[in-house]
Amino acid sequence: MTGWRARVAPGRWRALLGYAVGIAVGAAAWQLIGLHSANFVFAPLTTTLSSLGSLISDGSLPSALASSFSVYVTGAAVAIVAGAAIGMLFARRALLRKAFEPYLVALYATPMVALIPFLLALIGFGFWPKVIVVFLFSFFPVEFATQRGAQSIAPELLDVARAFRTSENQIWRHVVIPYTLPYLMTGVRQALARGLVGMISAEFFLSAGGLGSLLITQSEQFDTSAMLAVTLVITLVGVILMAMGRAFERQFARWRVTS
Amino acid sequence: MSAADRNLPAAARTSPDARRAQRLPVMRRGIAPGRGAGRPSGLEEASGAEAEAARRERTQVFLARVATGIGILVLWQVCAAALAPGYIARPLGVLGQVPTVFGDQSFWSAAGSTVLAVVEGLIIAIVFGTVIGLVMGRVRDVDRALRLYVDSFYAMPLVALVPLLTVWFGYTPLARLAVVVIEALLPVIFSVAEGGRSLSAEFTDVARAYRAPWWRIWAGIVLPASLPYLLGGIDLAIGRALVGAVVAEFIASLNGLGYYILFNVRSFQEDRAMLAMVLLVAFALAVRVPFSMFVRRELPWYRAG
Amino acid sequence: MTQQAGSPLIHVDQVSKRYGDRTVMSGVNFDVGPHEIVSVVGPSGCGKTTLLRCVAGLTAPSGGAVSIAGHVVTEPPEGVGVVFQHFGLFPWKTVFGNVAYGLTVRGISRREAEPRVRELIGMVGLEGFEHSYPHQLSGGMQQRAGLARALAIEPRVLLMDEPFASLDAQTRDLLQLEMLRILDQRPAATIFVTHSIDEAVLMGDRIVILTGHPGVVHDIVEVGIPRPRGREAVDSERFRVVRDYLWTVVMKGQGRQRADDGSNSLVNTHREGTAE
Repeated sequence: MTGWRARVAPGRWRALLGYAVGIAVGAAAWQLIGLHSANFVFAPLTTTLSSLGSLISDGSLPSALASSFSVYVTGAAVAIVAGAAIGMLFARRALLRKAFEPYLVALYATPMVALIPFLLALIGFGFWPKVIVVFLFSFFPVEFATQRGAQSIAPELLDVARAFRTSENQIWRHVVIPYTLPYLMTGVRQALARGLVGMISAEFFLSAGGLGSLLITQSEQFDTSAMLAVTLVITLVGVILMAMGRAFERQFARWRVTS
Repeated sequence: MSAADRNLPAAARTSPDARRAQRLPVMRRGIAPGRGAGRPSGLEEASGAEAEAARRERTQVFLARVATGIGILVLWQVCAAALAPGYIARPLGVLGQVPTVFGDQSFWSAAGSTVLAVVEGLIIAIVFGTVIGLVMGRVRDVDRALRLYVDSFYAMPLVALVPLLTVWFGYTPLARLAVVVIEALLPVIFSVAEGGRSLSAEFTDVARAYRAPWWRIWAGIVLPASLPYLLGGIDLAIGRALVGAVVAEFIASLNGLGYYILFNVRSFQEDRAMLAMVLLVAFALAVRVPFSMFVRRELPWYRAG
Repeated sequence: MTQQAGSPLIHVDQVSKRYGDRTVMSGVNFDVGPHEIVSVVGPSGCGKTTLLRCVAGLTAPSGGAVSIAGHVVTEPPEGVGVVFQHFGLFPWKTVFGNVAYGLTVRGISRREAEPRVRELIGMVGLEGFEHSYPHQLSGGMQQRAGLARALAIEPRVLLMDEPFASLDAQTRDLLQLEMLRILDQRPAATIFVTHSIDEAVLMGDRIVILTGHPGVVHDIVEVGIPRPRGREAVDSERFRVVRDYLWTVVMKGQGRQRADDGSNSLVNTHREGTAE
């Protein structure tokens, strides 16, 4: 082997082959199953892609994305800020934390989806109800992770801060917040995932736009190739968000050597 | 040398001459004779006082929790009564509906339906997920082939698949089961695969050095080492399975706690729906809390993602 | 020189500390002069670290009081630098950020503090590592940074809690001598807590010996080795004598716990006070 082929290590070839086989088999299966099943059950890859094309060109996909995006970003941002603040507060005020603890644990374990009908009855359809749903899904992982992080500050480090006459404000700025940031980022990663579930669920039932609402409409019309196209887009969004979440986590964990 | 000197290690012994030559100017301070000797180590005495303080703190925390809970309920009741329409759920209303709901056969059949679906789905997901995850974790080629799909499905909101699944399975319990299985399958595969991948080569090297057959390696090393990852995956799976079941019931109008909630909210019987909600949360807690406590106690070195 | 004429800077007056029913130390009395290094030595559990925390204002004594320059210590006082056994560097700050910490907390801006911080980083031998994070440094280097941080505030009082205990033997030897050199240049009233007898004798002008449960001052010893001290101090006859004395005393203090073992003649012969 000469030239560029020799520069790629033999092990690498096998790895690339593995990935390539995976993609190829998946694509082939999609195409074949689609061709051999009824229209409303499954659509071939090619039909799906052309549906995707028409959804983009007729504007329904872009507007759904815009609607979903605005709901998601608003809900997640508020959840992250509130979760971080409350998590750090509870970490510093032990009695407050212990008083609320059982209720927070219960809420963390609650399938928030089940609250959607109540919300619908209380505040109806539209933008803000959906934002509230996203908030409810995203808040608790952030609060939990931040709280657990801020609680775990080694007392020795707090001793050091006190020995150098650090005021309470400065302890927040120089010790609590920097220490907690990596834990917060783990919570953010979880919140991004959960928030997405909340967004889709909210759009199923509190419609008026968004990717989830688009899916419901298409399912009622048995337009399976369009549904697959939108699902593909949603998957892509999910993958991108998870990659972002992991990147945040890694970035802020630079100074943590051992977990 | 005096008797005392014999007990000192050689390095510490000084010649009597040297000691006489160096008179150490020392400042003698009061030494309380008998102190420290013959006295109890202090641990037994301390435990009495410390245990008392711990008991007091526990009572204080308990009272704080009860007070907070009551405060929340009172606030809810007052706000709902003053500001919201009559059909909005409130604590007293919920309590009032207890005999009706708990006496209602259809409520319990709904509860059973959801719980059964979640349990069935979890079992299926755990069995298949573990196998797939283990194979992925240990066989590099399979890992690379499937990685893209597992990572993608794990990253996406799986509830987005519910409409599609209802198209395939119709508005039937099978659709709900399919949703639960898929929701639970992904975290299990993901976690077990990660566990398999991170299994230190040292362990398998030892086994292979002793020419252990492949099934011994799997049963004796890979499985136990993967256990914490599996348990972590199951913890995640439980939560996701519940969400999936409820969404499926909402969309497909299937008999279950989720649908019970939806139906009663639409019929302006929110108090009944809230009761079903409470039961859902109780079920979630009943399964997850002992589970995570077990994980934390038996596997304290494992960190959940 | 070992004796400093003039009034003592640190005055520990009948200090005792109780946790519930358990007394950790009691009746501790000693002074430290403004340019003096006092070693505090004793076996584990006799309250050495607790004593240091009382002087640093991190813990309040149950009885008695510590005063620095005439003011009673109730909270961490000004001008007191502390060096911890576990280094205590903030992992998210660079070496520069950590060394400057005492100044930052006082409101001194980074630009103002820069010359002093750089000088100290140079003095402890960490030039080039200003922008490294603690996890990138070895234990010895981290402790040097901890030292620089304590010195950055130009302390009158320096409190060191077994600063070299977490380091390997060679690093420890090196840092001991460097510490002595630095303190010769920038003297401060220093309390140096250690469980190593050799280290106590090498570092201290005087040595406070704590023994027993609860810890009490068994003796205060004049080391009598002139400064500046180098490695050769360890080989001197005086060093040996003091060290041997300490060894005997500390072993005796531990022997008290085995009072019922009558066969231990060490316990029976050198005892002061009542017989068991």
